[in-house]
Amino acid sequence: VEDRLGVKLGGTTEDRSLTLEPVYCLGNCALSPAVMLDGKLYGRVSSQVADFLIDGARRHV
Amino acid sequence: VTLRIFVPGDAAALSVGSDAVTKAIHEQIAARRVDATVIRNGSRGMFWLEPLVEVETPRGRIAYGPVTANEVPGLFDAGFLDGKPHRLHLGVTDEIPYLKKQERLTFARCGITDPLSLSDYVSHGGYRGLERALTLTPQAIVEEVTNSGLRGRGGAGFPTGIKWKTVLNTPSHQKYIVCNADEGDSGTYADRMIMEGDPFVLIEGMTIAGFAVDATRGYIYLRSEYPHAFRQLQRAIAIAYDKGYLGENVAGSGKRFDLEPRMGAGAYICGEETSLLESLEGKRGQIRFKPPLPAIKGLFGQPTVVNNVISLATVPIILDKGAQYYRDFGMGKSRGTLTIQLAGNIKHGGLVEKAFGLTLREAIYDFGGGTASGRPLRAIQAGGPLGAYFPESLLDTPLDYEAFAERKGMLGHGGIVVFDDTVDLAHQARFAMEFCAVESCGKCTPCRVGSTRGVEVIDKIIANQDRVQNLELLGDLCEVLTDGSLCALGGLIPFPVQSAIRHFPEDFEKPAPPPPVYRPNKSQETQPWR
Repeated sequence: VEDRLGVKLGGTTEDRSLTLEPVYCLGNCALSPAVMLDGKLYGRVSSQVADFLIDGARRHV
Repeated sequence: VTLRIFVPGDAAALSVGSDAVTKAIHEQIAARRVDATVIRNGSRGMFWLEPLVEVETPRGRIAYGPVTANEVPGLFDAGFLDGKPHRLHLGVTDEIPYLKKQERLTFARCGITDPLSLSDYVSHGGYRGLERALTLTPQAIVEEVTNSGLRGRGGAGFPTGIKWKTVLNTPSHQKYIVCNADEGDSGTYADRMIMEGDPFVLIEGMTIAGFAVDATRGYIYLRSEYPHAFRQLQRAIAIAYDKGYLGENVAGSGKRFDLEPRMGAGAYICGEETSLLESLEGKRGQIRFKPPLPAIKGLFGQPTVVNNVISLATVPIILDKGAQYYRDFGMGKSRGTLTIQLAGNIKHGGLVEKAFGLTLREAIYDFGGGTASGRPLRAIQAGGPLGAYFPESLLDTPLDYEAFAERKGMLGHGGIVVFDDTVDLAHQARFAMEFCAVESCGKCTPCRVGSTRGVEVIDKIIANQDRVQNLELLGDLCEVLTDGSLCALGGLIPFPVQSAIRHFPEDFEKPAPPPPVYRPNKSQETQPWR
């Protein structure tokens, strides 16, 4: 996700549309890796799923 | 009769597309004009099978999983409404060995009922505990909980009944029941599951606690990472008020109990009871000196019961079936059941409720099926980020508070995180110190400064700088943290650090590693998530 967004953990993309935050625990350990996007939780996140989420989020900006 | 289909509405199931599955099922129901309804139940806790869809048949509930939305038309074609075979067919849900071998007391209803149906709750044994509590004096309720042997499931393992007795015997015009739902330990999700899957059991447990100690107000302090559980609790609490199970006349008893959920702000330290109380009062989450105990001077300076979600959610069955029934489960001084949560590198991650005494090996292999990677298991961490790392040779340790303490470990909230042979324990020890440095509230010097110095010393050890002297220094530092910290964060962080050094010394003896090279992980499994 860092590569894809071109930012490090804690950073915000140049267009100010997405911020990448580290989180310690989302309570979804049995389905990790997990991602939370605008309050919505995603489990079994592979790099393809992460790409899909980023694309979706960008479309909504 | 309307056919009933169950699709979990638990946050974990939602995270792998159970909403999309529900939508697809509704589309098929409409297109095929069948008389069927979809119930959003809690999760059964078998997360590798989520979304786990069940259909009610004369043979019992039949499970299919993991179901994706695009599998749904095929399931209908195969006759899944009659429980017929399909690639994803798992048979009768209750016969799945993972579930069948469990002893579900606290989680008896989770995944079975509609979490927001009070009539479902009552018809599955709900509110029988409260009913019995209303026939008892506060002293008798406290005695029942004491005799059950229930110990705090948040991790400290302090006898719940003793805590309640202190609150009961401390006079005040206003007492409080505070539920610690700041479930921050790595590898744990039992609190979230029960709050989403059977919220009324927590409401009932807190109400009984209120009547036991003469407290009329309760708060559930929930971590900010659980927005779904927050909404679910709000809905369940509104229903309980509406049906007369909360408010000024609980179940027609003439007694009052009010309950509110409160959202935390994302600090691990707020799972420590005194920081939690500070935060609940609207202040910065920082440790308080003890004494006075929260049981004597807690929320707003008043006597307060602070209990973990699972402790409180276990109270109804204790009151319903009696102290003896509950204490007949377990071993030694660990009575009743433990809600084990399997996570990390494990094939069958999920929730296992079982009497204390099961060994780590049984939990990890008989239930968990070993590592997900198929590589040999090298280490486990039980009890969250402050718990010890155990090697393979300690896997026959029974899940029991005392057995873990004897081996310088901690059972904590019941989370077990599994690592295969690719883990580097020096890295894990560094992570523990770093975690402490990031999450320290800053009130006491050993934890605030010691954790940062700890990271630096471990970095030197990894870099092979004066290794022998630095290992000795780290030992001294851990001693200072253990003896001098105000709370469990600084006090217990030596557990993961020292257990890593004790059990995996070879990881601290390696030549200094080259700088890391970024390599994309090509082997990562891709799962369709909707």
